[in-house]
Amino acid sequence: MSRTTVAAVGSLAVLGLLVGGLWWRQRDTGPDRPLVVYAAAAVRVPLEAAARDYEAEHGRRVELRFGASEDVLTKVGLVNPSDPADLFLPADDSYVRLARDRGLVAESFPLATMRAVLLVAPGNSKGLAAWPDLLRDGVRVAVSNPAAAVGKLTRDHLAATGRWAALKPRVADTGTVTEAANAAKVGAADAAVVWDAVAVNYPGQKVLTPPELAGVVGRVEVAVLAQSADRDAARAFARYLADPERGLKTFRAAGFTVGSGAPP
Amino acid sequence: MTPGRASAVPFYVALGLLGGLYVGLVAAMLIADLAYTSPGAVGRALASPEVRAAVWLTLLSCSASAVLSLWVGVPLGYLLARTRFPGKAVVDLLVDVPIVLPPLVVGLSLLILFQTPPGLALQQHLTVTYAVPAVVLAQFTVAAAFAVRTMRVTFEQISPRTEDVAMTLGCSRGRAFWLVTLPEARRGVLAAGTLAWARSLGEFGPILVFAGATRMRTEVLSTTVFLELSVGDLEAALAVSVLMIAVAVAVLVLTRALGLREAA
Repeated sequence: MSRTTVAAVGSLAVLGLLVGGLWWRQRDTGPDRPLVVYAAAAVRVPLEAAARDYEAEHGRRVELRFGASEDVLTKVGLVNPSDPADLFLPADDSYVRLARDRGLVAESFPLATMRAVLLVAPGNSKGLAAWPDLLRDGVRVAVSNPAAAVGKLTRDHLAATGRWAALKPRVADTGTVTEAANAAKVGAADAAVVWDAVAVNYPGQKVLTPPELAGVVGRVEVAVLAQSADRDAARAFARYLADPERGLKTFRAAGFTVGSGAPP
Repeated sequence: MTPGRASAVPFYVALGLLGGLYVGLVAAMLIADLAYTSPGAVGRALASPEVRAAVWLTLLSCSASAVLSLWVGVPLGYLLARTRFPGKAVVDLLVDVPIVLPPLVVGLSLLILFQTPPGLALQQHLTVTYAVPAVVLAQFTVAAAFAVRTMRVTFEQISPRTEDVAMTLGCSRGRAFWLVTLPEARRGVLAAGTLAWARSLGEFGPILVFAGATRMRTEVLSTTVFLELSVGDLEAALAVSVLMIAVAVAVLVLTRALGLREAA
């Protein structure tokens, strides 16, 4: 047998072992199909905790598939009959409204609210303390672009109150709210307009709550999808997330402002 | 010093300066990453079951993708380098498409492909989207293009004369390829495999769109970086990035050592 043949057969054997290893990793761990939740990566921490608790209490597996809000919205729109999605939890309710407009939502449950705040870069070298400080020469403020809810709501609110034109020359557009926060964290921006629930993930950095941003409020909702193959189970998990004694606890712990939860 | 040697000095200095700018940029990036993290942070990342699962899936999927890329890259590279056939220009163009397309478009195209009737029919038997096969397929789609390009250049650089001589001595075309040309191309095969593996390691956009980001299931190391960044945990994201760099360097050093031993 030539060395080329040995190498070719060897590569096939290795491929077989690799496929076997991958199959072993993917094997299902239970007889039931899991509840499939498409969620924004920004709500990963509280959602993972709530899903773990739900699995322990109810024995039903929950599979969380994360992405940017617009990305997961696209995915729930591509209905796959062999792998339907059950729930949709984007970073804010504007995406739930878009999904509802497309006929994807059966019902939704409010979970929490978020307020826009200013996350200041570590060290606060520009001495930012109030809104007028943002308008000084040389100050750079990261604001996510209007595709992200905080970016759109902030622009709309500041335009309506006559403050956007003055801030605009200081603004650095970022893709998402987390990118804006990270820009402030590494010092690429002097401050970033982010949700308060995002700002709590940056301990050690000063957070300002200027009255100029008081009207910028985002809402987090979980939607039960019309395509769900097990809508009762999906609704049960949505209610669990909206329960003040269960799911909402994890959201509160992650810095979200939670209300009284879902109606019984 | 002879006049020739003296006149070559400015030439080499200029080349060194221009090339050094790029090498310096890459080195500076790595140093910045290392400075921002710490061995403790890398250790904490490795202690996480999610990150360990992502390491294993990364190693298995990248290796499977690299082997598959070679099985496609060698025959296609040979055909493009040594033969003329109708539609060769079109094939040549198509092979470049995954290289030039934005990564997100590659992922979206794969996702749409598996929503077509043939794709859905296949998924009745094997779940691809948002599962491990999607990870490998997303990596393979891009990595194979690099393998084909590398193998084409390799075969173009090998003189067809030895293969012709083997045929005049009674070998069939296939046997001459198997016993003469392919052994001559072994360093190219190694380079193509290494490049395909490294390209698979760095793949992110197509995986996020086509395979999703499900923890412990379709999460590779690049997905972990995204998930940590999404919740503002820059330290964890950089720790995983450093881990990726370490894995990549280990594989590149190993394959180059094997290649040198082979050459010796």
